[in-house]
Amino acid sequence: MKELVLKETQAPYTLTLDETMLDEGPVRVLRVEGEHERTIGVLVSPDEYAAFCAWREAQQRSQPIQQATSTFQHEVEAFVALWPELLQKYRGRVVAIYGRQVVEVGHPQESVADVAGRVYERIGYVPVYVQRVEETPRIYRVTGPRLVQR
Amino acid sequence: MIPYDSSFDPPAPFVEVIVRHPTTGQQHILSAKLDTGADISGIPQSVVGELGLVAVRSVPVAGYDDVHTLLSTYVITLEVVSARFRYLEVVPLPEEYALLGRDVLNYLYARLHGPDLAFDLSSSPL
Repeated sequence: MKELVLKETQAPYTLTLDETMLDEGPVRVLRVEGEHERTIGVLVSPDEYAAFCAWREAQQRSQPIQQATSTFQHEVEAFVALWPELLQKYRGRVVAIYGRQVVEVGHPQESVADVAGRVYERIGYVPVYVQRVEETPRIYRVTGPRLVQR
Repeated sequence: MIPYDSSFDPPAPFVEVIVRHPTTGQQHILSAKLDTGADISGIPQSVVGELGLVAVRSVPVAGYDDVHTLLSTYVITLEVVSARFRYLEVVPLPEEYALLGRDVLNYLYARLHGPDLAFDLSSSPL
């Protein structure tokens, strides 16, 4: 014999809201289940919702950047570890480190940007550490504006 | 001729530039100050975040006070007047405007008309 399950239909919820209520801050929407109350939502003003959306968007944007920063740090460590070998083989040239190994070496006159661009074209936009192999790093002078403090 | 930006005291030569992500092409249009005193160009830190740029390395950068600050650098595509710099390394700046250093200006022709508070900038001889 087949069985059919009878489902109870529920009356739709109704919510009476005075718009000025939201001016005082978020309003919790509770469902009463027997003797218990359960929060099933929170009402906020449109301004607060817009601020939340902007915050969430910024968070989502910064997540891959944080991940990239961590990966980038690993490549920097690899550059330091490989330093004696790099100095011996590529002194004065630009190298790109990705996956803890050298993936690109610049021609003698090529810049860091040239080599980075080539890596982006070949591997994609990945966190890659690109540096010129030189014992004394060049100091750049930017005398106009303030500098970003790290 | 391009007028100086008079909101600066003294007024300064600013030009509109397009900063693009090097692979997605996502762009940001902003104002850039011509600065022959800068070895390297810069873009606002906020634009670095908006374009989702990832650093390529860190370099020591010195200001007027000769204090060295280690800054991350980023690779962008820059368009200014009719010139396009496919891959350009820049530093982040705590300003709302970009900075065109000699790494860019040395490829362009610039003529300052100081008393007129205006300048010419072109990729071909003026």
